[in-house]
Amino acid sequence: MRSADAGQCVFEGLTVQRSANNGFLFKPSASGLLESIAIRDSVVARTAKQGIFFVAGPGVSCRQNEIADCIVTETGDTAIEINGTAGVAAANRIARCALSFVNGVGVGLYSGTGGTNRGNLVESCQIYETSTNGVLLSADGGSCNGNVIRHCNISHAGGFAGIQLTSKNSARCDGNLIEECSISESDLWGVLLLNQAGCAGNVLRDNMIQSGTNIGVRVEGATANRIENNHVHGETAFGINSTGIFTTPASSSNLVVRNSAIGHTINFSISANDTFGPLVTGSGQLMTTGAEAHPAANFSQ
Amino acid sequence: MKTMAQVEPRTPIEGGIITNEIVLGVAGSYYLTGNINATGTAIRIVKENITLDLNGFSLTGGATDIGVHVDGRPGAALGNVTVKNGRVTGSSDQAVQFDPVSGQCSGNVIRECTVSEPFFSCIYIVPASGGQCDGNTIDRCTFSRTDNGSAVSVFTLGGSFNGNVIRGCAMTDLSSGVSLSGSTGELRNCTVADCVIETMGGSGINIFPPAHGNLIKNNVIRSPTDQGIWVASSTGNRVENNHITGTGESPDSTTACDPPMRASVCSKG
Repeated sequence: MRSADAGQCVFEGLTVQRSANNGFLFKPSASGLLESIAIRDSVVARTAKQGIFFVAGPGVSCRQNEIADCIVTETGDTAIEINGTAGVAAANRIARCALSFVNGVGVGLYSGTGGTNRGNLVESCQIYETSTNGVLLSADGGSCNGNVIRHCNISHAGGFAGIQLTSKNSARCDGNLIEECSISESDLWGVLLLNQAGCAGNVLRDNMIQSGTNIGVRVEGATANRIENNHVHGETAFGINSTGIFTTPASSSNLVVRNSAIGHTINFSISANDTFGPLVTGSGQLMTTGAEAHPAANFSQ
Repeated sequence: MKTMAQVEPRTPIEGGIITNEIVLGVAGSYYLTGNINATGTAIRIVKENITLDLNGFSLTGGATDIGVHVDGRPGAALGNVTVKNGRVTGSSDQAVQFDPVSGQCSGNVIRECTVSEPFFSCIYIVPASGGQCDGNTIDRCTFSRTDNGSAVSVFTLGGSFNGNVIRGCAMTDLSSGVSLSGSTGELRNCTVADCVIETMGGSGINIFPPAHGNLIKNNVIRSPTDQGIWVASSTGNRVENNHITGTGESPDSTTACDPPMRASVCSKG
């Protein structure tokens, strides 16, 4: 460990194995600071609980921390968790980490009542074989807004989704960006936007999603999100009854444009309350007029 | 086999509390070995071809000055400067300042930095008369926590800010996200793309004269108190494919964009 003063530490090149609790746990008392901590080039393996765990309880500020170039494997709970339980977690960065064989979520950004988790970056991570979600942004009474999930490769998320955004108990999960991720072989959904309180203004774009046994992209009662330029591929080996992109009837004001969905029983099932580009189903050379030439067209095969 | 020192000689910069600014005046590659707490400006860069690897550490600014000052003093030609891989926090002025007084600050890169808690803006660029600040890149940074400035604030005072790129950044808890404006000079052909901007006191992105021909693309903007994207009295800019929700006011454009708000989605949350 390298450190200069409290609250500004660099943990570099460490290996933590066989912990009966967490690999790294940062959990200050009320009104404490968790700021400017870096964990780099480290390995966390075989922990009973979370691999790397930042907890922002009441009054705690968890900001500007970095977890980079780490390997986290065989954890008994979430591999990397930043939890704005009742405090503020913001502007943290998780980059170039490899997470695998996780008995829980790969990367979890959470907020509880009175808590917030915003402006964080998760990028270029490899997440493999999680028992629930690959990445979970969950606002339960607080807010989980304005985060970025980018360039991640997520495969074999068991039980739930490759990436899930969810809100409940008057919480908000808004304005997050998921882009250029590759998501494959999730047990249920590739990406799930689950609105039980507020899930709006999120953007899902330029992702490659191989559908799991259920649905490639599922928008559950959420509003004003944008689903754009994703490629959703149904693989019959993983579920012949699957749907490519599905927005439930309770969803509204979502924009679904320029996607391609191929190989599902139903490629697109979009709520009438949403806006979507025309669905082009033909094969062969595209026409230069009509729906096939529409700039917002979705392609279905 | 060559060692790292042979491939890229690197000069360490010791951490600690400093009372005099560290001046990087010789081209080369530098890296921090610890956090630096400065009572004034932490690091001033006055020479081109410098790479400053913060190495995961923090520069905490002083009572009266700047975290990293890329100082394009008269006659200087500061190019190919890279600042990367760490934190700049707590400055009582701007966190990072590009300052081409009448020299050049062009072709520089700020990459993968966490910039927070300056008194004013996280990155502040003021091309004064005769100064050039062109072709710079601000890439995959996080900006947060200032009540008095923007994540990136550009104000041309007779100089140029042309062809710069701000991309892939996350911005939160700021008075505004990106501000491109000036009194005189040029502010052209810049790109703000792929950023997520959340919870500001003001606009997400604003473009004022003399801005012209800039591209605002693929950004996600949420909950600014004012406009999501505000284009005022400037021409030839392109605002495309942004997603804006929860704005206090509707996106505003007193002068039409070209083309106007193409494929943008705006809704009040």
